[in-house]
Amino acid sequence: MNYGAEVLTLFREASHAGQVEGGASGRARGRTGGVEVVFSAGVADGRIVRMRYGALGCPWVIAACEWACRQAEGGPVAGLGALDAAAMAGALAAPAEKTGSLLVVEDALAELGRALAAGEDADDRCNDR
Amino acid sequence: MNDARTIYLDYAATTPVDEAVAAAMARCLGRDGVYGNAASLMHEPGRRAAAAVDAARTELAALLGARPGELVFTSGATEADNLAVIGAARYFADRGRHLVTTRIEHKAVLDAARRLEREGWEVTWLEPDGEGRIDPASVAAALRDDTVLAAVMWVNNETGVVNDVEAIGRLCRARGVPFHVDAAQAVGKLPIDLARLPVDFLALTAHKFYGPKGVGALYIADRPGVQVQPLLYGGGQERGLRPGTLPVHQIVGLGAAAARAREELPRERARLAELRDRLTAGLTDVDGVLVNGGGAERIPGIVNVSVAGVDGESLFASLEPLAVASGSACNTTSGEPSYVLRALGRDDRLAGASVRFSLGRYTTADEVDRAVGIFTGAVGRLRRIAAPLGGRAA
Repeated sequence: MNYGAEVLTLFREASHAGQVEGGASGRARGRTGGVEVVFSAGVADGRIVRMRYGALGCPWVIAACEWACRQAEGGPVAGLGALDAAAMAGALAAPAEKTGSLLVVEDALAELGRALAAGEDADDRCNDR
Repeated sequence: MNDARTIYLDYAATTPVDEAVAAAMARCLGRDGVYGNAASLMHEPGRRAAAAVDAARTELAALLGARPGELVFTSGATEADNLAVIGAARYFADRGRHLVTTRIEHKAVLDAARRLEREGWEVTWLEPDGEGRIDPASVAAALRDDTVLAAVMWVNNETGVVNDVEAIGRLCRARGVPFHVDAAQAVGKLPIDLARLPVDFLALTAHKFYGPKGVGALYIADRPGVQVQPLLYGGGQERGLRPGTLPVHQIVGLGAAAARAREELPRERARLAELRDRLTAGLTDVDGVLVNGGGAERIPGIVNVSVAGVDGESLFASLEPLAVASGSACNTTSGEPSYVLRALGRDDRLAGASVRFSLGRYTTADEVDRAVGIFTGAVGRLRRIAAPLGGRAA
């Protein structure tokens, strides 16, 4: 498999691999079990301050997770919605056969977004008291 | 020029041409070389070419314990396997239309047998045991009155596991069934004495033992009733079994490689066994690393491991500058996990996360140690990346 320079750099650096202790998380698994991804993130003032991932998958999956963390940190929780498989495929110049794997990453991000939103709602309700 | 950092551990896929072999081949080329047509015996250049071919045939025969007249030069082991499997099946078609072979053969045999199935032959496909060996008793049990050929590889190209071809051949001979052996991974690595072995056909290729690519041979035992129908037509070369102008420089390279292999074999076998044990010890120091075929007799040069808890593609992308193979190099274009490892009972993920290290004449202990270090680091890193998923993935 020929990987582009961007994929190789992200895959090799993988500096956001890990876990945000106590943070919200979102997880997804491919139907065949070949790809599994979990994201975790910490939020302050509606912005993602720290985001990490764990991944079992090919270099495209790991590169996509790394790319997503770099895109998401510092941005609003709502910004996670823009990090879909099409955006990842475009950023990484991923071949069509990797779309299924990138959709797993997208699912995990969406799950994280829901968890973060739920947490914010809970915080808001707490603040109302 | 190769990258100086590369650690080449893919000798089972192919080997570099030995310098002495390359020199012998180079001497054949050019206006001062052995350029005659080996079939043109009416003039000196032709006779020189024929003599060079004869000398190479004699060298190869000496390596195999065969008679020179029992060897037919081909373009490699794939062609030799096809000639044996399809050629023998067609030659004996009046006797029967049943073949016996195994699920772990190289595709040169698998696809030839599948071709015959499509043409109406019946094939019995034997499964290996949990270590990747073919039980001779399973071959014997599959033989029928209408069986015209049994084909079992000597050394598996992915695992290095050695099959007991002597026992299998005895059983075939007792039933009068011709026996073909794909020996692409055995020649130059194991002592071979075809004068003693009950083998009727044997396929080999030069590039697996430091000869050039594009040349190989099929051994056809000089015994009554052992014959093949040619696959090609158009000339009388190689007793009409493989027509076409002989590539003299290639054949000279094959002969020179055979001569070198005969010299080197005892010493090299012992040296590679030591390196293999050193490599195996280092690799299996990593938790969750399984040696495929580890409980069976294997040739010294191959170690195949499956790694739990990592993705195969990511593992390979992490192993640079190691030049190693995923499963079988011949199978990697399909992108599918190795059919051999699946036949051994590995699931798709484990089969996909398998690495074949194959050592050769130029491998050093330092390279083995560096390879272990790179492998260990890569597996550890990928497991750290997967760690937040919790536990080790199955």
